Amino acid sequence: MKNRMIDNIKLGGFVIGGMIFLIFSLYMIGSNRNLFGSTFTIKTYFHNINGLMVGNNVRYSGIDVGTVKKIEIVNDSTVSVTMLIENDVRKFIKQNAITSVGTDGLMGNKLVNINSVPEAADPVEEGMVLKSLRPVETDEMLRTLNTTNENIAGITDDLQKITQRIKNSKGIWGLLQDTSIARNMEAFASNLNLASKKVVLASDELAILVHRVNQGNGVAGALLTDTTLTRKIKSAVAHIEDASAKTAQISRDISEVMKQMKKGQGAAGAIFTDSTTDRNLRQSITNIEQGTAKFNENMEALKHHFLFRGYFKDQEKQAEKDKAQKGKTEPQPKKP
Amino acid sequence: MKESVIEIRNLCKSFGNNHVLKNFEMDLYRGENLAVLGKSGSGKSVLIKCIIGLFEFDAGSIILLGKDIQKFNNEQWDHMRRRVGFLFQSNALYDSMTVRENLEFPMRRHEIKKKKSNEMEGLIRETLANVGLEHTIDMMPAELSGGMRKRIALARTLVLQPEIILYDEPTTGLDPVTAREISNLILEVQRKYNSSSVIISHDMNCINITSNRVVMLIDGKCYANGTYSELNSSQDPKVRDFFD
Amino acid sequence: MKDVFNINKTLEEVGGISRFAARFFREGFKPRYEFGELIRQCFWVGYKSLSLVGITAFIMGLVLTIQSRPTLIEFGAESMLPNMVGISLVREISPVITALICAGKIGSGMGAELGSMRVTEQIDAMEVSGTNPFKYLIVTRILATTLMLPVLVNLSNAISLYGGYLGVNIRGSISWALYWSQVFNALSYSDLVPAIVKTVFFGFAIGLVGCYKGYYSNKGTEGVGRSANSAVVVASLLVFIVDLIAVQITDLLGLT
Repeated sequence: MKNRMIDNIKLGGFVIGGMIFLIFSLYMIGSNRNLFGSTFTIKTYFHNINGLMVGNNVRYSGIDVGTVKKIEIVNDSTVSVTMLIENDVRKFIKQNAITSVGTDGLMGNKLVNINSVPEAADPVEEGMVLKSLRPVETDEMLRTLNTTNENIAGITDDLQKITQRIKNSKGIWGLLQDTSIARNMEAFASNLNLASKKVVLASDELAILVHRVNQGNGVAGALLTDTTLTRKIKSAVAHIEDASAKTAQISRDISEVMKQMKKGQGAAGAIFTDSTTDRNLRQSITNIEQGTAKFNENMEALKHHFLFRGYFKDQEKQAEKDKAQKGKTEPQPKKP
Repeated sequence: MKESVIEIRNLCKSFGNNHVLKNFEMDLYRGENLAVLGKSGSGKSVLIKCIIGLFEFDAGSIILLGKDIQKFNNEQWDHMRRRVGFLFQSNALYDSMTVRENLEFPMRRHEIKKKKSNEMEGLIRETLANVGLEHTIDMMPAELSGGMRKRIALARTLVLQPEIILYDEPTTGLDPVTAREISNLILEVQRKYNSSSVIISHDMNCINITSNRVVMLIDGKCYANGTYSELNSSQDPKVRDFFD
Repeated sequence: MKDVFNINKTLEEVGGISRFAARFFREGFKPRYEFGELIRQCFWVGYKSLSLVGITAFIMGLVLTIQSRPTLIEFGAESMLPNMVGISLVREISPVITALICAGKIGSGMGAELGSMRVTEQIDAMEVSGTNPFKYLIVTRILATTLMLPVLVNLSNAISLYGGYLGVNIRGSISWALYWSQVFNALSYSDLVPAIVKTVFFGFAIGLVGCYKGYYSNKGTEGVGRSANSAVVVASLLVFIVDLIAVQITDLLGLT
C-alpha cells in the first residue's frame, strides 16, 4: 500500500512536470516573452545593414549580449534595427555607445557591435536609440584609395615641376649655401626616398594581391571575382605605379641636384635666396609627406579589412617564418 | 435426495474438424467430488472451461446452479463466477502481485468488496491458514515452490467461498508427495467449505483420494460413470487402460 | 520474412487490430472504470520510461546541434542554430524518437507481459474472477500509453532542448536566456500543437499493437517471444504511418 502511494506520488510528479512544460511552452510561444532573466530592447538606425538578419548576435565589447529582434526599413536611406539585450549588461551600455554592423570572423555571420565611447554617460534605457557608425565597405575603401593615389600623382607632378625649375634656375643654388636648408634638403631627400620605397613596396604588395585575385586563389580571390572590384583595384595599382615611377624620377633629379650642389658650392648661394621657391619647396615637402601618410593609412585600413586580412596575415606569418629560420641558421656558424 | 448443481446435456464442442465433445452428459450433485478422467487432449479442460464460460459450446445445454448459462450476459456471469471457483492447471497466479493482492483480486469485483478492509484482511488470512501458508502473505508468487503456488491458487479460489469448485488437473507437475498433500487438501476443502467439485485429472492417486464418483471422458462422450472402486473392478478394456 | 509479403496475413492482421481497436472504444467508455490499474499502468508506462526517454532525448538534442552547426556556418547562419534545433526537435525528432523508444520498451513489454499472462492462463483467471480482463488489462494499458506519451514527449522536448543548449555552447557561446528566447521565438503554435496531438495517436498505436499482440499470443514460450517481437515491429511501423498521416493532415489544414 505504501509503495503504491509512493508510486502515485512519482507519477503525479511526472505528469505535472510534463504538463508544466507544455503549458510553459504554449505560454512562451504565445507571448514571445522571455521568462529567464529579463531582457530589454534598444534601437539603432543604419544606412546599410549589409545583410544583417533577425536573430543575429549583438555584441558589446566582444561579448554576446543579445540578438537582433526586428529589422525594418524606415525610409529610403534608413533601416531601423531593434535589438533584444540581456538586462544584466544594461548598466554597462552607455547612452552614447555607438553601434556598427560587423562580421564574425572572416566569413562569419553579420552582427551588431556596440562599442563604448570614453565620455561618461548614463546607462541606456528601454527602447532608447543608439547612434550608429557606417559600416566599412570594400567598395568605399577602394574609392578612397583611388582618390589618394590621384592626389599623390598630382603632388609628384608638382614636385617634378619644382625640381625642374630648381634644376633650370641658377638662382636657386644660393639657397643651397644655407646649411640648415641643405640639412632640410637632405632630410627631405631621405624622406622622399623612404616614401618612394614605401610606395614601391605597397605597389608590389598590391600587384601580388591583384595577381592572386586574377588567378582566383585564396579566400580573398574567391570573393573578388566581382569584375568591377578588380577593375578598381587594377586602376588603383596603375595609379600607384605611375606615382612611384614619378617619385623615382624626382629622386633621380634630386640626387642630380645634390651632386651639382656638391660640385659648385659658391654658385648655389644665389639661387636659394629666392624665398618663394624655398616656400614652395617646403610646401611640396609637407604635401608629399601628407600624401605618403595618407597612403600608409589607406594601406593600414586595407590590411584590417576582412577581405585582405587573410592575405596580410599570411604575409606576416611568412615574414615571421623567415625571421625564425634566420634565427635558426644564424647561430650555427658561431659554433666552430 | 441428490440436488444437481451442474447439469450437462448433449454438449457438443469442436475446434475446426476436431470434434472434442460429442453429446457429453454429466451431472454434479451438491456436496460431492466428481472426478473426470480422460486422456490428455480428450477434452477434459475444454469441458470445464465450457462450464465456467471461457469457451462457448456449439450445442447442448449447461445448467449451472439452476440457470442456463447459454443466455448469460456479462453481469450474470460476474454473479455466477462468484459462486463457482476455478483452479487453473498452471495456477495462473498474477505474478506482478503479492500473494495478498492475488487473494484480494477476486474480491474487488464482488459483493465482498463492500466489506471493510480489516474484514477482508481477516478473510485472506483465514483462507491462507486453511491452505497452511499464512506466512507467505507478502511474498511474490515467483518466490514460492510449485506446491505452494498451487495452494495459493486454491486459496484465491476459496476466498470467495464458492459453492462449486472446478479443478483443472490439480496435481499435474507436482511430485507424488506434494500431489498427495494437494489431494488431501481438496478433501479438506470439501469438508470445510461444504462445496461441490469437479476434478479433472489423469492422476489415478489423486482421483482415488478425492473423488466420490468418477466420470470417464472417452471420445467426447461420458463413457463410464461410477465410484473409483466400481470402475477399478470394471472389465472394459478402455476403462482398464487407466487403472493398469 | 515470409510473413511480410503474405498479403492475406497482413490483411488479417490489420482487420484484427481494427476489431481490437473497435472493442477498445466499445468497452473503454462503459462504466466500471479501472482507475487504480490505470494509474498503475501510467506509472509503468510514463514514469518508468522517463529515464530511457530522457537519455535518448538529451543525446538527440546534443547530437543534432553539433551536426547542424557546420551546415549553418556554411550558410553564415550560425546564430540561427537554436531556432533550427528548436523547430526540428519539437516538430519531429522528439515526438518520433520518443514514440520509437516507447514502441521498443512499452510495446515489447506489453506484448511479453500479456503474452505470458495469456499463456499461464492469468487472463482466463481474471475472467473467472469476475474481472473483465479486457477492461482491466487492455483498456487501462491503451489509455495509459495514450495519456502518457504526450507527457513523455513534452519532457523529452525539454530535455532535448537542454541538450541542444549544451550543444550550442560546446563551440559557440550563448546565454541561457538568449537560447530559450531564440528557441521560443522560432516556434509557433502550429509547430507545437500538431506535434503534441500526433503523440496522442502514437501512444494509442503503441498501446493498441502491444496489447493486441500480447492478448492474442500463441501458447508457449515461442508465442510470447514472437508476440513481443512483432509488437515492437508493428508498433514502430505504425508510428511512422501515423506520422505520415499526421503531416498530411497538418499540411491540409495549413498548419505548416
